[in-house]
Amino acid sequence: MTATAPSADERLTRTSPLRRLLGRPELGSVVGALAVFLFFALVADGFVRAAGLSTVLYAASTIGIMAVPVALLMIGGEFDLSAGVMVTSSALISSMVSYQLTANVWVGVGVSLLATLALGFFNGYVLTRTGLPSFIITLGTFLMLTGLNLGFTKLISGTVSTKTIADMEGFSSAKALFASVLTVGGVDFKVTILWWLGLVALASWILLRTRAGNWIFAVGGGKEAARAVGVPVDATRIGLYTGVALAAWIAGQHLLFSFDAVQSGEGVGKELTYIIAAVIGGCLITGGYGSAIGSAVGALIFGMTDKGIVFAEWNPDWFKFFLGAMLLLATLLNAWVRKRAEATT
Amino acid sequence: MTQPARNTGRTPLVELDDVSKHYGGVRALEGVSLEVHAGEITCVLGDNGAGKSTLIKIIAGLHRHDTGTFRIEGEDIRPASPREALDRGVATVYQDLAVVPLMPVWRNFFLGSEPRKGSGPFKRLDVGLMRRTTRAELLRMGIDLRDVDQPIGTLSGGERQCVAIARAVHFGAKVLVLDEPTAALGVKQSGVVLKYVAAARDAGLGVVLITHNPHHAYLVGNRFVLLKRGRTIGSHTREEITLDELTRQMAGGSELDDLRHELEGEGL
Amino acid sequence: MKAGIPVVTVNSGSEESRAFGALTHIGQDETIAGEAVGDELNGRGRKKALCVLHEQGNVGHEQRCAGVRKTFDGTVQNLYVEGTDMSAVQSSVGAKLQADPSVDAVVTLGAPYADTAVKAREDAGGEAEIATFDLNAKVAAGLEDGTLGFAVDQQPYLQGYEAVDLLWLYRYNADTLGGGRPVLTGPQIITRDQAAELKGYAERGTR
Repeated sequence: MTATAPSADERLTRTSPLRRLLGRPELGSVVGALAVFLFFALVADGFVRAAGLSTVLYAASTIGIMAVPVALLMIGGEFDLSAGVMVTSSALISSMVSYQLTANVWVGVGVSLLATLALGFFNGYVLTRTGLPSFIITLGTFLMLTGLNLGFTKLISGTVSTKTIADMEGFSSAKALFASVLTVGGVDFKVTILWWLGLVALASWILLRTRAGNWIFAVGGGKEAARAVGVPVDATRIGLYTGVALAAWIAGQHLLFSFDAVQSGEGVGKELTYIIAAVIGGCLITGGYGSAIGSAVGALIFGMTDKGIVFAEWNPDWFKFFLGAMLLLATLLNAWVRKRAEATT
Repeated sequence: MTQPARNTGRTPLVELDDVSKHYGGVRALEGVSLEVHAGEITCVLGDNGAGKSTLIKIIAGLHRHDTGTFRIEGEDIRPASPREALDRGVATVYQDLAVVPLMPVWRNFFLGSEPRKGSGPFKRLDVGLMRRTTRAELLRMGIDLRDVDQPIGTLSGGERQCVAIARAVHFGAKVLVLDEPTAALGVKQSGVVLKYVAAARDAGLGVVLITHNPHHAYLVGNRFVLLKRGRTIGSHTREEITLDELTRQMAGGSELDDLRHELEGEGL
Repeated sequence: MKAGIPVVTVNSGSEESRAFGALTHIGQDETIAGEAVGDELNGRGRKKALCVLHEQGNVGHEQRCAGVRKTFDGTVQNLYVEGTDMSAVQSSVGAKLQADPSVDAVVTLGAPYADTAVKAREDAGGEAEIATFDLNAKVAAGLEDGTLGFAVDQQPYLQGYEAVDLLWLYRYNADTLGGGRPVLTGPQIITRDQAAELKGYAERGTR
């Protein structure tokens, strides 16, 4: 049984760059982002000025840092509802360990890294051992962490927020890493933007250019098929949850070194924001499809909408309504563009 | 019940010798024996509930047998995972679990065995190699895909099966186990799949073909093992049996005759 | 109360307290506190104030801002921010200050948010005066070094303390305080002058 070999080169170049572009998961969200940007650029003063963009990017980055691993996890087919409060837990652990037990803030930061990674590992481990839906498991972790955040803070610090550690050794260097401001061309940019972009680059590389990325797509798109061909499904999922924890640690340290005193009730509700950013960015809620760059675009859309409404000085009572409406429009545009792109390929 | 014919002198690639498997109180397989030789196709036939899926899971390394012997290339084994069976050269293609629909063909092709280049933290997928190889291997089996980037879910059922078979052949499988590859396919697509199965056999692999379609089995099979309710009710080589007899045995043999008498007698 | 247990209410709910049958209410009237803020801002010559509400839908917060609006000669704008996300609070206040450079006063409704507003002002530039409701150690320090203008304290420690005290007196002597009206523990305007003294008490958690 033979087949005539076609001229391979000619066939391969037919997958033109444009066609490749149209097939990317983040395409629709990029169009949505442009639309939102143009809208607020027209409607709001100060939005397009450098300082305004810096503010928007900061807002996007604090969501974006977490949206990246949450998107990866979603591509892998799972959810993490504890992601929001885990950030706060990480900050609280750093702060209280530093204050109560040590002389140098970096020790607290290191302990917090281990503890937060352990939390992520716990989520993944329970998932792989019990087979319960991740929605339920992480809902449980979310509630437990919320309680622990409050309980431990009150127990150790006496109030619902931690004591200030700004005068402790190591604070300034830690702050330089996690919460500093970089001046570029006369405009101030928060360092979280760099962390965010770095995470997006790392996650994209992992997803698209490593075998772990192939496994993530497979576990999300067809877990049993993946298992049958020898993909380490359990290890992949635990790894994804640990990734969320790592980003939570980064975001938590930023929170701590930016504001010094950590409010124990923070983070509740953010987990949905991260998921929204990932979905707007083109990640399928059912798993197996999406991108890290998409999550960044989703976070950007969120940041632009959130701050754009403030810049536009719309009636604040209707704020939440505007936010929801804009997000819905961005998502619909995203879906429509993707449909059109798929029809032409 | 005839004794399984033994091909003297040649070690079977895969051999099940009086294997049983129980799930709790349920007797899924009881005293089943079969042989698979290189360059031959052994068909396992039986209706639903006959124990075919249990059989395939044991050979694939998903489950462990309880009694009897499972040999790969003459060596007694009890594989602990699908990975182990794969490493020993047994590649299984499942009816519904063959591929991940949303992933491109080239990613599916190398799933679980991704080639990498570079070193240390910069170890990355050799994407170029993966794309080229996928096209070439599919071409070797007669599929000419213009775009290996398309999600494999956009391929027809038959094409997907063929990708899975081509994948198994490429990765040096010595034994190919196919779980009802033509069950969900129409006549033409079934033909396509069976041709590739034959191509795999011609390439020197041993094939275990699970099916409930005796016609398909007879088109390509060298040996036939019939299962019913976990037991072997017949084991023949191609020389020993005709298609009609195979079909009759599969459809119930004497039980079918009884049913016919019953229905005719009642004047229905 | 149906079981005959004497009840004293604290902090919020002064209107409902009497209707429920409580002995008395000890707290701060949010509207009155807001009005005090408005007066203080007038005294400092401010023209345009931003009222930062960190919990949309909180009635007490709305009352405070409404109180400010009542007495303040200039304009008051409400800004709703996400209280559970400090970074978002900072960027929202910063965005508002950039969008409207004519804002010369920012009023936050919780002590932690004062510090965030200070950072937002650093981001956005400008010299808006920042005032806050409620006190904590950082607010006291901010008052001292001038980054904050003033604070409005409702003395929550006193609220809790007095509530227990009054219940004891009721049991011991059938005394009630307030004459049927709420007992007010605030507003008390804290400025730089009082800050130094209060800082130590704030750090120990009682102010």
